[in-house]
Amino acid sequence: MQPASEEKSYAVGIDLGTTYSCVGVYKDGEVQIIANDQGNRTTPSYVAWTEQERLLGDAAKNQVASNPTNTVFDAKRLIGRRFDDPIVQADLKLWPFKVVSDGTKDDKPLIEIFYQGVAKKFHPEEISSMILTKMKQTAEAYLGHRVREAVITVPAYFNDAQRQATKDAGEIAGLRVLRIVNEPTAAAIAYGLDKSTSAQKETHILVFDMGGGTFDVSVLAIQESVFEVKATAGDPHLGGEDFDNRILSHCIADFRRKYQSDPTRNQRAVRRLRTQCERAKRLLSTQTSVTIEVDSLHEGNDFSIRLSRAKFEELCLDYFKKAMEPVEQCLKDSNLPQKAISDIVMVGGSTRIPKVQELIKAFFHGKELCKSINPDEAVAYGAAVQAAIVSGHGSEEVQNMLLLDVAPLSLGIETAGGMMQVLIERNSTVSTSKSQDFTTFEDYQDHVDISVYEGERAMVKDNNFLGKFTLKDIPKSLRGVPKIQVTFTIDTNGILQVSAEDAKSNKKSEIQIANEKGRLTQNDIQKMLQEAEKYKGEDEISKGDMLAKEELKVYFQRFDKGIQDLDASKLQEQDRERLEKKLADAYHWLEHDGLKAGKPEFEAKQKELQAVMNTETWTFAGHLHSALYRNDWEWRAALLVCREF
Amino acid sequence: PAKRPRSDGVQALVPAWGEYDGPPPPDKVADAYRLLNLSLSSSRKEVQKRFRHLARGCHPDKAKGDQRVRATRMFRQLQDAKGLILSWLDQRAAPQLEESDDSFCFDTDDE
Repeated sequence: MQPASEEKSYAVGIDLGTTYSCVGVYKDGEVQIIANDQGNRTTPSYVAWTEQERLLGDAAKNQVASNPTNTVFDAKRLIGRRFDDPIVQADLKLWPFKVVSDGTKDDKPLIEIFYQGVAKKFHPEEISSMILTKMKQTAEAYLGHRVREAVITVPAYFNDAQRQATKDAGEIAGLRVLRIVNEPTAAAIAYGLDKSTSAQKETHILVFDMGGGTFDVSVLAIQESVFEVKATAGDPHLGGEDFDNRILSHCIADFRRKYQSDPTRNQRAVRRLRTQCERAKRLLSTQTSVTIEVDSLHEGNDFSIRLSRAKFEELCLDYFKKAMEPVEQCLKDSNLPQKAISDIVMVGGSTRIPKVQELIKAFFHGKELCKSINPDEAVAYGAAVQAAIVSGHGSEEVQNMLLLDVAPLSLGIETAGGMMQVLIERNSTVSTSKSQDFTTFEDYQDHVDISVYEGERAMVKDNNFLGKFTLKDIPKSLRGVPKIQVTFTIDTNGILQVSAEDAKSNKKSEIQIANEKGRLTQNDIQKMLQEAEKYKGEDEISKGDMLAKEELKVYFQRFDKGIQDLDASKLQEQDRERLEKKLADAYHWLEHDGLKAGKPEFEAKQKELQAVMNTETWTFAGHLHSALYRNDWEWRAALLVCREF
Repeated sequence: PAKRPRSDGVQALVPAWGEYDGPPPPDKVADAYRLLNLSLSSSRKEVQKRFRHLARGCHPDKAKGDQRVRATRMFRQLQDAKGLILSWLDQRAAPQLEESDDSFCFDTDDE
């Protein structure tokens, strides 16, 4: 695109969820949540590869039962994690698709699928980027403009690596990521726009955000349109899918008992059952009991079970109770008693579960919960507002808003004896910068290794390692003499940079943690960008293939009908047989070779049939022609219709 | 900069003492009070409110491209100043039990 173009550009807000994603845009003074090509306002975070093409969103999720090993979801549960992470290892057992290690020392997970006969491996970032691409296209279709900038949300409790990886996914999708925003914070904006928040008086709200895969709690202070996060806590791996899994295990146990056979190896059966479990869970938010039914689930056995709401609650009670701990933690961290919270904002699909509502209500001594905002769309809504704020597009009301978010985990370095020395405390407002002086541990030490960690534990071995760098050429002196200043800086995306400087020699050394540890390098991103571009081309090619194939099919039908319509006086029996055989062959070709064929092959086939027709006697061609179409004009129009089809 | 109050009507560079009659704050804290333009008798709530008010003016999100670095520095200064004042207020409040409630940043008349 030419840089000088005055083309209007929009920045969108994308809620990249574990199970569903949602996109919104701030336009004409209000937020629009954009429906996808299926008319749905949320899009499943699914990517699938069939024999012919790549599918995204609803199309991918709809065919999951027939194509379980090539349908990828839950990329958010892998992103920014190592393959040997116990959480990844546990999830692996539940996924029908294959996940392998990349075999390097970073031990990154790769998702392996089969496409057009070849095994392909993808980073979780790439899968997420495909979903982001889908969301981007959804927005572009609605706006009629290209979308190049976006605010993407992540769970507040995501760590540095997970944030970075999400940002990378945005870049691979060809988006400039204006900001990574925490989901509960985004939801708070949605709440804030709903209420009048410009009041001089300070109010406190608690956002309880429980979605498909992650769970966050944040406490915010709102005053004069400034949204200041006071504290945040959560569990990056707790949500609706965990509840689905509990129902699923319950059903499988029941099936085993009833039929003495185990369906767990049967991917298709498990997937079909899981879909019904998810449905049952949703229904139990409004009904008190539900029947889960799957015909011919495994080895020809039908499965049916009655599940009451009470049973469901019993199955998941430990999860629900676990969800109350971050609420308590968050209040403690923000130095507030329960009664200081003026509103409890419920966000995410799982907050529809009556038991969850009941527990949190009880925790706040029967306080009514705020349900005025849409739990599925609030995060994308807030992200769209933040996109408008950061890109300077919004109305005055929006421009007046300011978001002050926090770093969810303490950040520090390793000191003598493997102790964690915290430089930035958790719940510090970003952006922030903190320095501390350190010194050498041994006489004549000429370098120091600086290892950076995040987490709340006293010993670094219990915390999450982020990266390491060395400050060299320290002037030799006795231990304790050199003065080394270490500075931690967190930007507004919550991404960390660390530097160290020797006061005497002014030698400086630094890293952006972002570029260490398991993170994709800029080169990797470039490569994936190209790959994604290629895919885009491939998607278009396969769309062209589909069109050519459909055109050919239509031609077959017309041809067939034409032959049938002609009586014996106009078409001799032997000619008819010959033509019918030709057509049958062509059908056969379409059914078999046609699966792998592309546009050129389809077009060639059509030409071949046309040629057959033309070699027939002029009368026949004429008869067929006139049987099919009353005139030449109609014939051409029909062809045009086929092409557009 | 001079830190003594001046009698010639030029604005004083030390923080106003207001109703405050305790021991003088350390220099760093006094600087923080001046940066936020608050008197020493300000409550926690007032500190928070002033901080938010000023943050809206100088947050990097609100700054134009070339002003962003400056805004970021300004914002961090504000933040450090707020932190210093709040922790000093905590210290001041600590020995007096009846004021220890002050360490919450809410007020009971909120509801």
